[in-house]
Amino acid sequence: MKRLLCSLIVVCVAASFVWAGGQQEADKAAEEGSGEKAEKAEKVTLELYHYKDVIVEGMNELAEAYMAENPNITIKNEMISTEYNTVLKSRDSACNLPDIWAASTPGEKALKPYIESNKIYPVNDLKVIGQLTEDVSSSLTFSDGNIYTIPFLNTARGIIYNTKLFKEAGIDSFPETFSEMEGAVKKLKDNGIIPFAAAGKDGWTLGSLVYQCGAELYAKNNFAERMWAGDASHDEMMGIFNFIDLFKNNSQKKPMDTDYMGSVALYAQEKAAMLIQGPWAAVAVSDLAPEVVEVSRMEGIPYTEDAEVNQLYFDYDVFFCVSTKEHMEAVGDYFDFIVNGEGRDIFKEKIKAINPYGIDFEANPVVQSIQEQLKNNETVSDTLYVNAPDGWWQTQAIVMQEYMGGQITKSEMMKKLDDEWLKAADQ
Amino acid sequence: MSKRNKSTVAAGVGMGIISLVWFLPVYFMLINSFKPLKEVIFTTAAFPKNFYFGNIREVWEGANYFLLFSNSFIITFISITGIVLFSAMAGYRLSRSSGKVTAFLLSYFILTLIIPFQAVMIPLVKTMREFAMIDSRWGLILVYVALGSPIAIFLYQGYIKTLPYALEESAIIDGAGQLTIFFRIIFPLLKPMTSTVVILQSLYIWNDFLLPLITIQSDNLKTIPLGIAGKFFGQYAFKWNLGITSMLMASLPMLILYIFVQRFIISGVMKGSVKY
Amino acid sequence: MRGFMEKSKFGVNLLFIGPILIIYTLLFMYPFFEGLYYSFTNWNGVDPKVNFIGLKNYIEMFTKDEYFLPSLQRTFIIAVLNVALVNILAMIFALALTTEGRLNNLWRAMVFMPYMISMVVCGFIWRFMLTNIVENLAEVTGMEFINQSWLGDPNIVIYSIVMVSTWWIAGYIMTIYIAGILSIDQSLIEAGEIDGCNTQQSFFKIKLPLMMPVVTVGVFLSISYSLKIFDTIYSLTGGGPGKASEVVMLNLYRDAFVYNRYGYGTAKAIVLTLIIVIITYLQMRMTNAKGNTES
Repeated sequence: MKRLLCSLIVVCVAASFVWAGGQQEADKAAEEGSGEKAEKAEKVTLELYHYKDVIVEGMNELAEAYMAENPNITIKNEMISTEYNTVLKSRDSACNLPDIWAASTPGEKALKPYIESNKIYPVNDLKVIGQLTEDVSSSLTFSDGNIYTIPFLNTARGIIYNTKLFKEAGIDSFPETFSEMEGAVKKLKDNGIIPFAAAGKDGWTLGSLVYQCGAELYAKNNFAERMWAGDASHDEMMGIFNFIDLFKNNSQKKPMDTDYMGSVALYAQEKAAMLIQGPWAAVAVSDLAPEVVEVSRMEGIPYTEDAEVNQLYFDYDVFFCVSTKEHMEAVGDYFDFIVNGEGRDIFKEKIKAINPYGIDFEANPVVQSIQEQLKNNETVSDTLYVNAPDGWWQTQAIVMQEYMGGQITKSEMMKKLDDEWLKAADQ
Repeated sequence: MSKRNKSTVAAGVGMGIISLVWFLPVYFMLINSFKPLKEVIFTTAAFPKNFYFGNIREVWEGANYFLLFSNSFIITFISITGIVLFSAMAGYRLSRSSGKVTAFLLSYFILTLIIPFQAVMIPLVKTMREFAMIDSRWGLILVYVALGSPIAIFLYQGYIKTLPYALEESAIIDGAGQLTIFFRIIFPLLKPMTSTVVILQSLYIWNDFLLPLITIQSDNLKTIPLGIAGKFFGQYAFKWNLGITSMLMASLPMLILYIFVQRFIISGVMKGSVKY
Repeated sequence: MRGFMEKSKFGVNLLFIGPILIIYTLLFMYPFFEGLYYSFTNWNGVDPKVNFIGLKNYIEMFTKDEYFLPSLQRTFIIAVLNVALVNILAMIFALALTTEGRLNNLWRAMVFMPYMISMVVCGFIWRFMLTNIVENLAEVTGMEFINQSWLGDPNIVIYSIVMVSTWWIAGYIMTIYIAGILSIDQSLIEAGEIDGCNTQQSFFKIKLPLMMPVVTVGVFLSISYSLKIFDTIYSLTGGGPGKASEVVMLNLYRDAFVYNRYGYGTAKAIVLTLIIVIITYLQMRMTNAKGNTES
């Protein structure tokens, strides 16, 4: 019996050695095999990194469809949500940035280090870039005259709200000013509904609140430029606390324990009436309760008394940078496929997001309300955020968590934001 | 006599309650693996309405579970073989020697428990790159042997000290060489300690996340923790049903191993760690 | 016994110990010393050029870094609570499970089970539970106490971390203590009972002193583990809310991998290592001395 066991172990060990060795040989053979084909059509592998969970299936289908048409090209998609920037940084330090990657802050200031060390390349010549409107392409052009990002998806940020719950609480139309919002909040509470579903555990949801509320203030007087010059302070933006405090005091019982999915669940169960997110949240809600999405719409945050200012915040969502000069042509071909070729249908069916290429799609009511406001020019577009320091949303997130958790005061929060910006300026 | 029974019953009941509470998190992981997304989010604490196997299917295919499992298995198996072999040999010689050099070597090896992996991580990756060990199973295996042997050396050393020297003595008189003595006489006697080492170090290697994270880049070489965590910070972050199921599937092999070898753990630990 | 370097044995020793010594030195000690060197530089992990800056990193972490010292303090608090809770619970469990209960093996398995789950998964499971289930559970069982802001309240989150890491490692330490108890000579315990001492006296005067070597091991393991916790906290809170649960490991991880300050991060790791060395050394001296005097 013992001997049998021993021989069994020896066989297993031997087998695993053989297997491990065999695997490596098989891998090598695959490489060599493809090397021969390489003479005929260059074998290209493109890695594509992004952070949007709702488009994962769509992106995979696009890749598969493209690879079916172009067998010599392999596209590897990777979606990373938490620690996206950390992963990217570690790829960067290994001098191995993915060929195509979504930039979490596609502004000139944030991308400058990459441009200066030749880690990303201009995409001016790509066909899809040529198809963009004047407005869009001029907004993408950096001071050196080049465009370094391929815009892919746009989005809006604001409040997704449940019209049914609003009506039941006696609110006829969505509040357009801050005082109207205060009134609406009271009515919802009286009706036993939680006004806001907060996701305190996932700081990124809070960070976006800061710059949405600050949009008007940010856009005034070249705030970003003055901050870089050391000539401004976040104290100028104290006004954002009106809405932030309203949000803080009228969310569910344990906001700091709820993460993003938890807040979506609250909204989907119709326990909360408002979700401060973007249309991606509507997709998440539709996974859980499609009937709630039917009665949902989206509007801008009414954080001032001026209805003109309180508009929906229109934003970049996924903008890609390209880190491969060698395969730039393949990249261009792929995006051409998506926008103009067969990929367009897949985009319509699966991706279904607002985009700068005029691709129409069947939209859920939330996205429809966004598109309507876009058409009527009732949106505010990002001017500051793109000029903030790299990873600014993370700084805002940490600071907001501390404020919401009662660890710091308003002025302390503003001072921290100032300090962090100065630190970034020093580096 | 009756006092012993009373306190035994009390202890039994107490431990029963505590153990059930202890098991709760695992229980929740289990039941939520068999629910579809909506049920997981809306009725997290409840028992599943029907047993839903879709999660398991999706994780198996989506995360390419079989490949992850094979990689983890190969790496763990070969590393453990190396660890057991080298540590038993080293532990044997160290237990039969004394003096300053022996003491120094023992303290030298114990540094692995004190120095946190993070302090060594980055230069280690650099060294691995120099020796072309990055992104390879062999690279991982060698590092695990390096990191996992010291504790085993300690355990073996302590255990062998309890074995009477007479056995070796008679073998030497009979003219046997050192290698023969070790493999024929000593090693078979080390079974309890070997079981302990196998279990403890298997747990460590199988569940290790950080080292594969920073050295493995190819998809086909990923281990279970790496593959699962990758999905976890990605798609499964928003699909809790798949996330929980993937955690269950990642933990299952070790849980099964435990059921098979649990009786060896106590006797092994007993003989190794007590006689310092 | 013979000396290590004795000529006749040297060749054999070399053969038996040599391979592992080489692998260990090359893949662990050499990187460690390299890391030590880098802690005196401002290396960012990539640049082929490395600038020696002397003690600047070490000075900065104690004077200019506003997050390091708080993280150090938090690490200590967590470690103290953890070590105390783990060892006390492990001892109690071990005593209870070395009685003659019939289901003891089952209870032992259930308490040890958490250790079989990786630390990362452990953090995720508890995060899932503490954010999604507690409210429901509190309603169902009527125990309002359960419905705390476990991971959201910056004052409580430390205790939540201790709870989770105790859950993970208590079973392992308990196993070591069980082994210790089982190896005590039964005759000594019986002699004590004949002399008329009760359970309490039996424990403190007979069992505990005889178990000192095992206790030393248990305390040593739990101290070095507690000061190094990373995976669990990372998946449980990520350091949050804000920075309320950021321990030294997380702090240096951010420096090294998020802010690309590898030299600085490694310097912090060296400091942590020194702290662990000092504490465990003192601990060994204390518990060994206790064991000697009591016996």
